[in-house]
Amino acid sequence: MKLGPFPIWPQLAASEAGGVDFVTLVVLGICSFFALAVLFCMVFFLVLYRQGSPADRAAPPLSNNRLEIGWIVLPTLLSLGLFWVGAREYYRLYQLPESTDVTVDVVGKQWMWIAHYSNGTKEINRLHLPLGKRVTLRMISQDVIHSLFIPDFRVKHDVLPGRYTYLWFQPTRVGQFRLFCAEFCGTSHAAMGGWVEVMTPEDFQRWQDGGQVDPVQRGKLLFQQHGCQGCHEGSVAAPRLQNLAKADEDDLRRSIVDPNAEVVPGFQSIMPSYAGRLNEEQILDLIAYLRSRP
Amino acid sequence: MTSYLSGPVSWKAWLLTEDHKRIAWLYLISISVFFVIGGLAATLMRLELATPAGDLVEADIYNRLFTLHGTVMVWLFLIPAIPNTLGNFLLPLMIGARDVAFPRLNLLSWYVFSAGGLLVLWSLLAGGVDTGWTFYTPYSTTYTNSHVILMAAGIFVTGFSSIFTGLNFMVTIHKMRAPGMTWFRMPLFCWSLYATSLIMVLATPVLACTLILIAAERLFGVGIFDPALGGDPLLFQHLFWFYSHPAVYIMILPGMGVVSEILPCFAGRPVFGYAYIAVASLAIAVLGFIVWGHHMFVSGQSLYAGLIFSFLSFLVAVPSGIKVFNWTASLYKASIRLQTPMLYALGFIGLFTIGGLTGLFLATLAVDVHLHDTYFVVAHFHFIMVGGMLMAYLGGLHFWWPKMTGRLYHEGLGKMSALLIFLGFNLTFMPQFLLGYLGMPRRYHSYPPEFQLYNLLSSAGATFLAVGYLLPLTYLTWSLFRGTRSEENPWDAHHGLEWAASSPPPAHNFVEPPRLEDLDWGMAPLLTSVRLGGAL
Repeated sequence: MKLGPFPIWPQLAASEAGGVDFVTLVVLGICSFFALAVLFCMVFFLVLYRQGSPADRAAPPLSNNRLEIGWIVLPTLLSLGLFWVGAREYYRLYQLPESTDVTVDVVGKQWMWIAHYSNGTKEINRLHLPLGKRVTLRMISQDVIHSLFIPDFRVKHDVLPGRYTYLWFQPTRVGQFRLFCAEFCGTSHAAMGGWVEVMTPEDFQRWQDGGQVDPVQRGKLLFQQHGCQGCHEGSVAAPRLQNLAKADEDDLRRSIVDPNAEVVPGFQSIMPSYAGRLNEEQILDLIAYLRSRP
Repeated sequence: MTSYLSGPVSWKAWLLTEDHKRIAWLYLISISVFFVIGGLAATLMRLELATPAGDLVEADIYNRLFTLHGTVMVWLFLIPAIPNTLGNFLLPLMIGARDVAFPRLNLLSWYVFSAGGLLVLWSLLAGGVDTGWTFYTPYSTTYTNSHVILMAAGIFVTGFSSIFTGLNFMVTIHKMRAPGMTWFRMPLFCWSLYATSLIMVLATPVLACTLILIAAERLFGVGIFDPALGGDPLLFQHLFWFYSHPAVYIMILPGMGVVSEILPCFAGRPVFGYAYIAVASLAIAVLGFIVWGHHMFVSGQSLYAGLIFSFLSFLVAVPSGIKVFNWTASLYKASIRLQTPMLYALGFIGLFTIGGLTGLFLATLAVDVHLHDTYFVVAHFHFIMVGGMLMAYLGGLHFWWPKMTGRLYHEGLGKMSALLIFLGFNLTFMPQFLLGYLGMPRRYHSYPPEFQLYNLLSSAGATFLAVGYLLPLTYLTWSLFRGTRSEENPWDAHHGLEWAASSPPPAHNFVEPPRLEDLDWGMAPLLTSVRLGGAL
């Protein structure tokens, strides 16, 4: 929204953005009330009680307990109200929904965003999304802390090394929206951004069909290249890696980069760590493959 | 009677002085130098940001500039600004003591501070640091190749000066008050210094530990914060903010104290709700320790931790509100003189109110998700730190300048600079609130063109601000040598023992320790201080 040459409000392009704006306006209303009340009283007193004015100054009060209790209790109650309104919306923003239509894996690294789609499409500093579908981003960093920020969606979450974090939303408008890194991450921090492109579901499907290799296939190739089958399918006493479709991804990831942190009961801790040998994108592919195994 | 300024004037006499008033000057000169350095860095940043492209300095230089600006302004200017200059000068005078409890420790504090400051400057000359003043890991420990260790060492050393001063002030307030100077007769400035000292002593050691852990990981590869080494990056943020949030109150509480002194003087009446303002200072100091997690709402900490920290953050807003309401009420039935210190104090109340209220946006969880790490945050804390703390510091400096120097400055120039700073400040930082809500992230060397208009306004405002700061530097220095001589009580203050001493005060402050019960109180005992009687 613009006022003459002055932009004053960002676009609303995702399902929860309106909710966030509503909370903002509630806070703005309450804060404006207090700011204007203080300003009004100050100016009023400054004029009325300027030195030499004929105002009545007999016995200025030093304290008034009722007044004090009033301006302790009223702001406290209003604050609790604000807390509640903000917390409810925060819960909606950050609590992942039961089901999701599209999951995109996002890897942050100095200084780019890499997006992986379930059908194998991969892109850098772009995020193609279908209109009206529930999208979940599963995010991890290859190096330092980054933060994925889409102002027009009113969503932001830090992207950490060593651990998956998530963000969900439902795009409500077709178009291009800015994507930023909000956590300082080094030299080209300001250049670590791009565009979110929201398309109709049909266009999205057409775009995806131009995709490439299935991540499950890439994961299978990695599995073989690194000789995982030597133990996990061979004669060594190692877990068989079956029925992992519902396994927690942080657990799977840890079993790869820090396998001896938790060993399946009955097995010895003999697996070497693959941290440093596989990057985060490859680990995501491996997890996709592991989950696809029968 | 000879004043503290006209005693021995050799270099040695000044550099080895144990007089709290001279040590205040040593600090005043040091922090002024650091303020100029930090201000130059800010000037270059605002110049760079006048256009969207990163064309004036390279990204690496820009990143070093904002790190330098943050580090120098926070640790070498804001934290020592009021406590170590005005606090050092006034605390003994205000409570009727001859000096602080440990004069030598006081001097040592300045030497330690200077040593730390020099280490920070060394890191700058060696090539600077590009992590931001927050040193987030694992960037600071594993990835950056800038001089983190040197700068961390500087801050580590400076921390001891904070602890020394905090300890000194606490003991002074407990043990050195003149007969009859009960806790609830103390000036509100002393209450604010007490609350500040409490935080300095309790929080600074945590910062020291955190910096040591950074050094351990960076130098020896001990895995504490970097997941690649088995550490947890969020642990760093918890430790860092456990110090750095209370540190925000180290920076603002003394400013609140200064305003609580200026306001009643120029309103010609006692402050309203003395006891509430005094206790609010302590409440802020205590509550300030349990809200650090509000810096981490989007960091990946537990959703439920976020809920608790948001709740507690709203509570800490209440005592700040109490202060603002009481200051405003102190203008009721007043007789207001708009002299320079009062202009600064009124500016403080207005800007601090906006700074505090915009903090509520950030304490509100859902809104913070959008605003976190944007220019809204930058604007918010500059309203508190510059609009609040710096206005209070300048107000206090103008208020007690005649006491400290025995000279008067040019009143017209004083008023003009106060007005210029107020307008320049608003032009610089108001547009940044909008920039933030529109989504411009902070610490950006270049930015999308749709943000240029507000950035340009902000850079223009910074120019006025710079002129506004240069003015007092000039006319105050001039007044040191050429200003009209000031009498004891140039503002006709109705309270404050410091105004009973000559201007400038004698080396030992009071010839006889003042006995407060002899004085004509004139008003209720809950008065900020005493109404001065005849002889002292």
